[in-house]
Amino acid sequence: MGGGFAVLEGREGQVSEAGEGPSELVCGKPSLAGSVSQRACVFCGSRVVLYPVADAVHLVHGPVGCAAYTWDIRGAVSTGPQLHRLSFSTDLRETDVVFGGEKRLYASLSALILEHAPRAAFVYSTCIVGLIGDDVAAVCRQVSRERGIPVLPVHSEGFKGTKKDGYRAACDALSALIGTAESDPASYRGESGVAGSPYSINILGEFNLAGEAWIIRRYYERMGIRVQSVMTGDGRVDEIRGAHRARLNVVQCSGSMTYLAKDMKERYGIPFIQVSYFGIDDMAEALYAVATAFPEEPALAERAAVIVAEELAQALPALKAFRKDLEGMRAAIYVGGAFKARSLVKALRLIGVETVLVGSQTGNADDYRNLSALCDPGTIIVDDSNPAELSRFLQLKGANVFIGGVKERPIAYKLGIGFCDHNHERKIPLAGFEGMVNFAREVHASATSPVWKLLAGHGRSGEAVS
Amino acid sequence: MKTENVAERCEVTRNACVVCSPLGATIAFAGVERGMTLLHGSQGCATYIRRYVISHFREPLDVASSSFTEETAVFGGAGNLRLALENVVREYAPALVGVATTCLAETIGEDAAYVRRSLGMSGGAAGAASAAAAAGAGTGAGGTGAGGGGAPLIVAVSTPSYRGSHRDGFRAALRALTEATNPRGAEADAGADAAPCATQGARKCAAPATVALFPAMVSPADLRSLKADIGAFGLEAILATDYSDTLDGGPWKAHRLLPEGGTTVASLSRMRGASAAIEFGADFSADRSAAGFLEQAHGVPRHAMPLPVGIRATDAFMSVLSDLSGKCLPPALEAERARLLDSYVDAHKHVFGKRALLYGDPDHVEALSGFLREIGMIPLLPEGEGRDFAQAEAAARASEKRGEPVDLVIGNGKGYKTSLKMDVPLVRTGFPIHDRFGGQRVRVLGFGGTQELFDRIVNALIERKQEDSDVGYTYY
Repeated sequence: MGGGFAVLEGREGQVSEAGEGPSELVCGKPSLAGSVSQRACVFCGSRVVLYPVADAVHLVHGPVGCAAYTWDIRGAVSTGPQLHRLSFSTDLRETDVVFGGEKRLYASLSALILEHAPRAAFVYSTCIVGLIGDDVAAVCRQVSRERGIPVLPVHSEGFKGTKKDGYRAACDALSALIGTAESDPASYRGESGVAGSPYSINILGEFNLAGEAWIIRRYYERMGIRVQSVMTGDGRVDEIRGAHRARLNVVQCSGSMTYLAKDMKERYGIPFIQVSYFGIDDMAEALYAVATAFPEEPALAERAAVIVAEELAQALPALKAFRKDLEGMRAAIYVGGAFKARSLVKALRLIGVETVLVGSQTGNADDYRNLSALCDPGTIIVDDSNPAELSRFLQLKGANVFIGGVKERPIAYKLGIGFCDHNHERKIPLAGFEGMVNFAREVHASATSPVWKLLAGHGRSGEAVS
Repeated sequence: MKTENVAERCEVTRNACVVCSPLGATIAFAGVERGMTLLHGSQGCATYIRRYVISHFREPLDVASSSFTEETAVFGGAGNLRLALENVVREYAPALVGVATTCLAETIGEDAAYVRRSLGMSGGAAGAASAAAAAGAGTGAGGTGAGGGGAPLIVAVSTPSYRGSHRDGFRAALRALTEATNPRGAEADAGADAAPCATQGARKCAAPATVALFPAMVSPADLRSLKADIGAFGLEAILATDYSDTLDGGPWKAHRLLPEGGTTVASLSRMRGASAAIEFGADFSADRSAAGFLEQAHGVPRHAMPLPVGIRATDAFMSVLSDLSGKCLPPALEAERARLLDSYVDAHKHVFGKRALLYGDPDHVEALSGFLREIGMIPLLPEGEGRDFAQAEAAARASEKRGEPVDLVIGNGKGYKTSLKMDVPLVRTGFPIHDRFGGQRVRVLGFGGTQELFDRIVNALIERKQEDSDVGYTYY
């Protein structure tokens, strides 16, 4: 383990190479102090999951920073309400730290609910709230009684675990909402033809970045499936409240939402499947898997096959053209969840790009085992990495393009390596069949840009690591 | 803009136009050569701040964290802090580690003094991690200098997020950095004072030709132009701090973890021998400011003034430089000033009586206000504490109600939604600019920077007039 890579003491078990034999990557542990982890905190985990619920007030109980840094942070779009794109903070000060912030929280919540008439409110606890002892749940209950809407505390104190614990806190808040109301078929927002369909699903962990949930939703609706709720992309409180009536939970971002799926299975007996909407194989599989879950209606699978055939007829020629230029290039992947990373490895392979480095902030042992089996021998696999490691690995492996988020972008660019944003800020849908074409176009646009030729003599891949 | 104590606090902050103090400290430390910030608190603070800063500068910025866990919060963070420091030193070989506290650490009583104790640092505002570095700081070398080898200088600063905003964190970090590199009682560095004055003939030049400049949170491009302005007077500028290269540099020739550039620790320690310290910004308290410390502890004359935006404010800055150097305004700057003045005349009718909504960093708001008044525009400031866009929009609505509509919004990129709502153009300045390219190269300071800002303001107004007209005029 560790592959002999130079990493900080205490991180040796978190790096390995595919093909090293049966490997158990160490993961799920708190970030090493001083390692400059790319992870954020518990609050971040909760905030990103609940963020796309568009008709709820999201109030951050804490000092100004936590709310300011997460204002409009995700490209999660909504067909209607835009409340999620506002940033609200109790903006705690020294006096609140001394005397407690409950009064202020009460006043803030009450004012915001009067102002915006939301369908629910989420109250995120930040670090100091966990220390000054505010009874956030009690304030939420009181305001909920007074204003007649669900007000949900999210126990997301930044230091109480990792980003994953934040996912769980968000799932707890969603779980508290689910089952509190029945959804009205007349208010179905999708294709009216499937509003009464007996084959209903919730999609969990799809955040509608750049409208991706809309693409996925259309596929399922073309199959004859009713999408009860997308938790949480383009999310609506009432749809979440009625989500217990769906017959199947389809979990896309497994790292964040499997917990909720298990909870719903226990509480409502709703089975769940794990899927990925990235890359054409996984996308097609995500359609077939849903059809398989409703064996009583074989037409679902037939229609899925038609959709896949139609979409591939469109996508494959485009992908072939990109592949011609990209064949033989090497990619690095560092993303939030390792489940997505697997899809990306396959998607890149489809366009002729070999993955030489793959890692994630929050992957679990299963994810990494699967990655190790999937990747070519020698591929570096890393958990909870940092800029120092990533830049070393990028150069060591001579990557041509880096798939990651905003924090990874400058690492790639400074080293003269192409980059594709596969994180919150993407403006172009990368999910679904059409998303795969967009992904290939993005990778192609960066990896084959002529600007890299001007960087000869700079830190372009393959040169010595100082 | 009123200060926190006076203004009525809103019950909730809606779309804040400021961020928290550790971010300001991070930017300040990024301007020291091989400087690295270590935030004492949750992992999230470091990561959020990195993301926010990276999105503006489009440069790598590594920020370490002591990565609190629940156990840390209960039993204290000293162990994590020491481990974090060890790892940072091992991985980055920094010349300076700026340890800034967060609200979490401060709430459990782990302030800057605690950090110093935990790291075994010597007294005063700062010290060093090891005996070797402590000796270095004590002798005035201010640490071990750049690159590898010795232990870094460690500077601790209290920056709880519940106190002030990023501007205050930036200032607090500069003060801590200045105190650490210029301890009370330390002798001025003789080498720095031996500036030759051969070119000045018989002119009296007892004062060393060095200016310590505390420029507030301005763009790298503005830092470069400030250095050039000071250099044009034959003076040497020590910028505290200078992130003009570290946060706006070229591609890397080879893999590196810390960017090139920045003011060296050794240069910072020469500030106590400077002939003057110039400090830009609004509502300064000398007791807490970096230049105030240099004056009180080392007798360096302090000049506090608004950021030089506009003719008058820049003249005030130039006049200090002129006094210090004994030189008149250099011809190139004179010409720049003349062109700016000429453009004021050419465009005065486009801007006269136009109202511009300002918000955000008080240093910038104050400077822009002065500049707008000088060209015949009317600055409009947010209501209350001015911490969010709700208060800015409230001021705009009140103005409109009085029959005084707002024509323009000027400030950081977060004003975009406000400008959309008000249906007026936004001229982007300051930090952050996440929704446009080149925020790190936006200039507003000095005659040249003002010229760029003035042109952008005039053109924003003309563009709107042109868009609003059915005629399609092609001359303005």
